[in-house]
Amino acid sequence: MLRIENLSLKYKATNQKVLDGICFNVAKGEVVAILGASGFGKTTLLNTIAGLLGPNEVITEGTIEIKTDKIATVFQEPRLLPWRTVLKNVTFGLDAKGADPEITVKSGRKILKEVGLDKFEGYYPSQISIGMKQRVNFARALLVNPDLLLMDEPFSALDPDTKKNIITEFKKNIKIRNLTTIFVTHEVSEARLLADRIITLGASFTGDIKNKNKINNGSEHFDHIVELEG
Amino acid sequence: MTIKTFLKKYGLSVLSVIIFIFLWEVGSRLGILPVDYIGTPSKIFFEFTHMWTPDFVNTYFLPSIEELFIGLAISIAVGTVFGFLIGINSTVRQIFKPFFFAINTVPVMVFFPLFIIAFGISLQTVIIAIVVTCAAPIMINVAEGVANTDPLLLGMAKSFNAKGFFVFKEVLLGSTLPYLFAGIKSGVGRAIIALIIAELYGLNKGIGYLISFYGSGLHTDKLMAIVLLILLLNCIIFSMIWLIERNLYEEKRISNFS
Repeated sequence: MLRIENLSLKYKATNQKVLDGICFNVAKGEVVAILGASGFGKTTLLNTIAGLLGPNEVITEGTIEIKTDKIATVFQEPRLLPWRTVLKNVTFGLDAKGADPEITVKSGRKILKEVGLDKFEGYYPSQISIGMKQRVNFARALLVNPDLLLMDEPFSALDPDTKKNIITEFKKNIKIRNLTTIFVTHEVSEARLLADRIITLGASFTGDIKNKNKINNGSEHFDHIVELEG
Repeated sequence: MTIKTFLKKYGLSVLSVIIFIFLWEVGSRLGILPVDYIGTPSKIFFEFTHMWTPDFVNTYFLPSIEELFIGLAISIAVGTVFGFLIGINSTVRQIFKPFFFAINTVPVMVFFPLFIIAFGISLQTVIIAIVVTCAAPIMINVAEGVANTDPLLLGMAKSFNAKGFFVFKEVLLGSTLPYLFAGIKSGVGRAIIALIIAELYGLNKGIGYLISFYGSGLHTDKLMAIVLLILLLNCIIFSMIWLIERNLYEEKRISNFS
């Protein structure tokens, strides 16, 4: 589904190299966690895959091959529009495509039921909890029926109990749809709960400053992180 | 809003106005305050309630209201359209920025005699004066609102391939509404001042003309009754804006979740 070969990235504004020589593959239906500390380019990598960084902002080298253009992103902050109801926020992606409003509303209601928010469709984002907002964020991405789902630390703002419930819920939805998913996180526990495979990013785990942006395919560094976190 | 909430929010303001009027009345009756120059609240109120003759309504009140509302409507339309153009397009912004800055800082009413020479003494001239004075703050606020649109929301829209008019309608417009209303509120005060000054300059109708007439004849109570009318007019327009604002977005932003 996704192949990244020798990807390097530099921000034009700061001339700072954020990613260097990244290589990894993701197979169809696989759930991959990219694990790393803050500041090691996890979100930049995800935004690059999503095509959210334009040539005016960054200089990239290397290859990114994605076998689909149906990509959806679940953001770290829910990024809900305060003036749209929960249902209208969920249907944002379909509305943007100009889909039939009747079908859009019907699909929106269906997915809200799946994430347990069917009773809140008329609420505004300010009237629901952060956990509910994150579910809306997730449902909005699922509704456009993506082949590749990208998630940027979607659980970071949640309390431990809510986090565990939502991860279980997300995992169920992802598996039902056989959805190829890449999510970035700095928490080993999240990666262990959700991912089929974990890729580490960053020098703090390997001790290799020169290669801090190399992604190590496989789980050898993950074992090390588990040890470090006790 | 319950009485308790109302009192908590506005109680002190209402009380301060009541105390002010009471002291004014008492001071006037005791001869401490110069009644000839500032009138007395009871007489002003009497004049205010007795001035609503058909002649007053048709010759002075309604023409001013007509000028004010037409002027405000055009100002909101012009200010909003140009505000969005300036906010969205950096080329338009660079071209027009010096002119908008000038219009917003120079007291435009000093040019009113030139407007009269160019357009004559008419309703249109007053409306032009209102638009020139009132559109600038609306325009600047809207442009500011567009520029301050949360980039995260724009990024979210981009991730769903939202483009053009859809992004404008669903993201920019919603994000800019508070700025638009702040601009309108600031513009209303300016519009009323422009209206009064324009009518003072030589029209023989409208409440501005009455101010000039009563002022020169030292009819202080009648003059202050017109000032009271202007204050009430301002309050009514602000309440209308507040209601629209509340209905459009404010209720949606007040957090009910705890």
